[in-house]
Amino acid sequence: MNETGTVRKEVVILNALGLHARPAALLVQAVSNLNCKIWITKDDYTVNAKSLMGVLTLVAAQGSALVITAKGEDAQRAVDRVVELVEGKFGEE
Amino acid sequence: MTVRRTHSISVGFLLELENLGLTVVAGEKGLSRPITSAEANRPAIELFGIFDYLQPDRVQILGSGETAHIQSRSTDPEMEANLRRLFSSGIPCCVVTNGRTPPSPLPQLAEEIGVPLLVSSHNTTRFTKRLWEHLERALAPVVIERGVLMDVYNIGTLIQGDSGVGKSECALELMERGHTFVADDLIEVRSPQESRLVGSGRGIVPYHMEIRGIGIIDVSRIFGPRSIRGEKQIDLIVELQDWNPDVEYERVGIVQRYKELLNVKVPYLLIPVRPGRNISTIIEIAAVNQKLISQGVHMAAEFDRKLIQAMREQTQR
Repeated sequence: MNETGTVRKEVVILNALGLHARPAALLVQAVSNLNCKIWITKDDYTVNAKSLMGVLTLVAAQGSALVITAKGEDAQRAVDRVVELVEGKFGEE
Repeated sequence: MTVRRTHSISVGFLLELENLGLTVVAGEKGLSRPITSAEANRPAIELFGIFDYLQPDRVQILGSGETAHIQSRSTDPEMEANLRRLFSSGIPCCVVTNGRTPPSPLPQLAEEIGVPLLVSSHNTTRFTKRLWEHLERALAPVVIERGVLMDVYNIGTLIQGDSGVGKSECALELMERGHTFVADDLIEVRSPQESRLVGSGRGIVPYHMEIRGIGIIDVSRIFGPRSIRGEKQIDLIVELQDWNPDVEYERVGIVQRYKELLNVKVPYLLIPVRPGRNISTIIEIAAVNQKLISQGVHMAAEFDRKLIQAMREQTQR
């Protein structure tokens, strides 16, 4: 964490179907009650990670590189949760 | 929630059902005999003395064939013995259809044994069908549920939730929009054929509801006769809940949740309530969504399919 309280991490989508509705809902639910702002960036397009429809507009297929950025008290926890979900393939194949 | 089953109705109750067209010929003292089965039996093999398969809890129906056969053997002692055995087996009553006059020795036996002998003016098929419909309904398992039952776009929607969450207010707004009211507060839910649920009001004075701050109102007076109906199949259960940050509400809607009542599964939604959320609009959308699902259209699943397709095309590029 740097002095502004911003946490940043890059992840790659691993599950075969990509960030479709079910994984996106898991991701949004994992962070929505945390006390921080959190965004996901793909290429130069950034969305609020607490918005389901926003996350779905990323159209992040398997192999997509995403940058997770969070700011606020729970920023580290929020990023960790997202990384855990992505690396665990959202419980999919 | 209390499950209640009407274990039996009396034979006399059938006489009150006008569309059965019944009159009593003999055995009037047996009108309090109970009927516990919705099934009926046409005794045929019993007339020939075979009683191994008789289920004596069933109403016995004699059609034209059986009646004519009894008439042709009315002085045959064997026929009398078989009929005596049938009437003594514990049957609730015996019905002769087609408005035929029951031949001897039926009236004498009915009177002597105390089993009602009835005549229906209808033919056997029609009578049997109507009888089954009445009995199925009267003997169906019943459960009392709290909530408001509304007909929203012909989707029977049972709105539930803790008291004070806004069920009645939500129902009022739905009526303002032209939807139909069935009952408020205590809903009598039955499962005819144990495959679907039908809800209706319980009170002697139907179509009333309590609005906090005003009191009891008569829905049929305020919204008119078009705004009410006596009963409705329950297609959807919506539970309203004060928004709880610890509860994960449905976000996608691909997985259908159910609530089970009387062994029947009904689609179920948990809807969070919070100031500024228009619950009646949400319930209208939920009803339309349910209607689409019943027509094979699943909006959330379709969205997901399109999204996955788009991602596939993207990686192939």
